[in-house]
Amino acid sequence: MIQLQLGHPKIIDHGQIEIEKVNDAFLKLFHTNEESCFLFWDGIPIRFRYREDFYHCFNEILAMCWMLEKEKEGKTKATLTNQVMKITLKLFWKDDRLEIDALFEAHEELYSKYVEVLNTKNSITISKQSFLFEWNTLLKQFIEVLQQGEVTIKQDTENRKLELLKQVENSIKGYGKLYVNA
Amino acid sequence: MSTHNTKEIYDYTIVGKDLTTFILQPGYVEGVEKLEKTFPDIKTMYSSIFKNTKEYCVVLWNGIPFRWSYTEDLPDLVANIIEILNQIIVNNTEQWHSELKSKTFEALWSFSTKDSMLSIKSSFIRVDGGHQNALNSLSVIKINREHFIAEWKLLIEQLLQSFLASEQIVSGSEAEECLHNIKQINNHIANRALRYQYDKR
Repeated sequence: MIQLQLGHPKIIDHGQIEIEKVNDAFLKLFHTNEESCFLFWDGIPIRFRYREDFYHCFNEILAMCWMLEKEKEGKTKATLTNQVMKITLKLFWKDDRLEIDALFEAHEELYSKYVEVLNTKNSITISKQSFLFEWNTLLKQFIEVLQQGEVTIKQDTENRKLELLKQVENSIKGYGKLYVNA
Repeated sequence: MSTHNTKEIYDYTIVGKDLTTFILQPGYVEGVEKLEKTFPDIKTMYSSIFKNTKEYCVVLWNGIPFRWSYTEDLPDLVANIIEILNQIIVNNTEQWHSELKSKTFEALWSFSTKDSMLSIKSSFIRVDGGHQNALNSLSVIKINREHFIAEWKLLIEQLLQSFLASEQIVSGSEAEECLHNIKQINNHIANRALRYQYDKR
């Protein structure tokens, strides 16, 4: 089972700010010392820091959700990274059945046992919709942060990415298990 | 008990400063209901108080996280947590250990203090997710005492405020003493961890 638990970060108030790329907002708006988001991979938490890790992972997360949401059948790959590991997700889906093959690679030997146990649970089959619901909670949080941060994006291509973020979030009609009433 | 190995602690520091420590991130406590019931013990009381809370309390142990459920773990662990903080803050004990046990979590934490520093060696027996061996590979934490107790401040506030909001009553001297200790510890811990001191970051 995969679940996402959001942090509750307080953003830095700059007033209105202009940035080049959407993910620059994470460096501008989030503190270094802040709550984190946790991906629970079959019960094992994996930490993502809002400032540094989502700066690096935002494009991959958005592309993954976009592909999954728009295609009834397909495959894609997403590469995520945090302080201790690189995660390569290979996703294969047809209708609502989603198979995920993951590879967890530690940046340092110290965390080899941590990725070792994750790699013993590297293959998961779940509902595509429930997987998207989990990530959609985070996409919604990103949109709210960009709005609260009064962010203006200079590049046209990046503005289209922001529009895509809103479109994907709007298309996924639900949120993660920790954020809906049973 | 002095099993702390300086080489181990030194080795942990190569990855990054904020990884080699103890970080506690409480979840969001939802919908505490006013039941005005009387409970025989702290565990039963907090099981009732936290029944609507879905987020987890996540602990980062030298960079490896594990989670405690508010409904299944924390009610069992409250007495341990209070005992640990009491030993540090009130009793100023130099060496002791605590056996923590709940539905998904079991560990033995051995503490030793010297001046302002606190060393914790943990033997993790069970954690949710089954990655106890990974945690045992980085079992020693060396942390400033004040920083360690500050990590608990927000959770202690949650325990206290949710109890007050629920308007519940505990009966029995053990439970009453535990609640008294929660209030006392909350008063003794001056500050939350820095990430929760919003005006100082």
